[in-house]
Amino acid sequence: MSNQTLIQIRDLRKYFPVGTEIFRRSRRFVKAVDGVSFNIPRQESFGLTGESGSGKTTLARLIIKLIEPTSGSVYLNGQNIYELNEKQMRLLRRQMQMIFQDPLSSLNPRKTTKQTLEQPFKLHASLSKEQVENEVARLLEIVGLAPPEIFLGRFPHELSGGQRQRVCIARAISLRPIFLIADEFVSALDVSVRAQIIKLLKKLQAEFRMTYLIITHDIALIKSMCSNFSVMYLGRFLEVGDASKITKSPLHPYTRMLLSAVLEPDPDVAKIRTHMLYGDVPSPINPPSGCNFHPRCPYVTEKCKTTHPPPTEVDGRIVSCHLYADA
Amino acid sequence: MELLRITNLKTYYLERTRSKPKEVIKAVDGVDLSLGTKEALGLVGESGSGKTTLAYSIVRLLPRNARIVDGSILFHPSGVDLLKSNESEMRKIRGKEIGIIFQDPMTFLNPAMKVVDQIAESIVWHQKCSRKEAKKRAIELLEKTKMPEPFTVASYYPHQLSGGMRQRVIIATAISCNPQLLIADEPTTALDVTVQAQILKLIKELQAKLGMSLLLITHDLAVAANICDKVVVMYAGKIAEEGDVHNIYKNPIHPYTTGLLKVTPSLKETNESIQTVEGEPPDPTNLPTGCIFHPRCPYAKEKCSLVEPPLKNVDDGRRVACWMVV
Repeated sequence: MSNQTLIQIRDLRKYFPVGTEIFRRSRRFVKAVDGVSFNIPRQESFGLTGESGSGKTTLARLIIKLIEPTSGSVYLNGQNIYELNEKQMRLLRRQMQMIFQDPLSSLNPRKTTKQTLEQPFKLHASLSKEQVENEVARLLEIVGLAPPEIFLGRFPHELSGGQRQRVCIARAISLRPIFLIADEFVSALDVSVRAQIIKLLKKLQAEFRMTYLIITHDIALIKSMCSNFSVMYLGRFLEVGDASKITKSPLHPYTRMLLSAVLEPDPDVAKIRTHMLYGDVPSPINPPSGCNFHPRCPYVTEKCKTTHPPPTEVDGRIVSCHLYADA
Repeated sequence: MELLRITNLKTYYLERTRSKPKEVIKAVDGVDLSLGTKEALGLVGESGSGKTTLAYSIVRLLPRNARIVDGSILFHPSGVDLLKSNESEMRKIRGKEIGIIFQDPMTFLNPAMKVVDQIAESIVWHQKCSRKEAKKRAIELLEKTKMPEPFTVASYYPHQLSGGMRQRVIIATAISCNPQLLIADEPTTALDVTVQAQILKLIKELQAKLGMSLLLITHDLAVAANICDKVVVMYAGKIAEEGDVHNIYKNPIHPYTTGLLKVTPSLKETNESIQTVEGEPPDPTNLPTGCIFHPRCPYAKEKCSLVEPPLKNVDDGRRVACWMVV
């Protein structure tokens, strides 16, 4: 593994059993993540997109070991995070952090900003009370909640949506993580606040040399933040590669479909393009055979219905589609 | 031709909290608006701008603590002031003359009722026809909304449908009585992008085909750009700017509109730096003096913090509330 890679993911799978048959092992599974491999280079942002139910959030939870995988491995700095002992795990928790979509539900409603932000230091660092107070005040300034005195005593419900998300960010970066997962971190915010939070995360990334995994359904956000991204569909990656290349000339029919559905805030180009769009995401319990995407694909062939297309390198990207596999 | 005229509408909420027993939130504060027949009007703004309250004031579906303090809403097809109509008159207008599409379809569908019965209910109520006839028409409506396999779906319950299909059921119900006006409140916010594009296109097509006027409430300027002829930008209960969609998007005048357009996500933008509008929408219980936008406005002068700018007509038929144009 090159020194440039921070996170390396190899053939990661997570199958959730469905059905509650007592005394009998369930034979049906939701393949939430189904054989995913990719690398995230140091100090870069990797984007993950797809429609709801594509497995984005499950993948994120696997990467920071909130849940155990069915098979596969995740390496952070060359170390498999699923093979760590308890002591090593404590260090890992400091190195990997996550911010969530809804800041109100990820903050304890009965804790003030001060209490929330002191918690990580109490758990992980041996600092004096005074040092902790200084750190908390500094954190608030870093995330743009200045002067800190105003915000220290406030409860989550006394903060606006943007301020709450800033507190969540402050909490996430408090122990100087090297890797941060942001799961739909601006979806619940107003557009004017959204831009401020994006700008803040970019600033923090440069300042603290963090590596990001950005999970979102918003391709415009990925384009503005990420160097590389992947398009996920029913637990698999359909296209992975350079963000500006993919957004400019998508290869996989699904990527084309997603991009064609993005609306532009310009009445002159305004034309809702739906000729590519067909159907909904199928049930993950009973996914289509062969290529998962074939029932919605405009270029479907007989082969697509029976065999899963292998990942193929095309134009510096990895695409899983028979259109490119044969060429 | 004009279909709806709102004059000086003021809708306030009375908030009762332990610390402040009587607090007034001016959700809509003196709005004048006109909607033409077959016109698609977009009501855009951030949360708390009063766009939803404005729309729900029209159909009088406001929460209990809301009071319409002043104003009139003239709805020409029935020739009445909706604010002076009583509940039984409103019931005849809602669903018949004015169809409504809600943001979250699951909340507005009865989970214990089959799709066909939900749509038929509104038809039986408003058009005095037999249940059998109504059900037949319900299935035709599902076909009109391009529901896949309408005959099968008709006997489904809401939980068996996907988000996009549920929204199609809501749309079918909303257009069941050929309304003159269709109000769509964030119709695609809860949906995936691919489904969003399909639903918006459907709404646009139905609007043209049935000759309805459309009042679309959205926080997303891209959605409004794609289906509206006219746009009203609201900020903290007031109109900041109103006009033709092309004029506003090409050449925004109000600094808030300019800011909103700058921060609206787009795949086209090439420059790497991210533009921002500083600050956050104001606290509705404690609005700034003068122009409500002045604390966030990059061009604010002393006058802006003291005197509120009037909504002025501009040459190209636009109305703008900003001291820069007055």
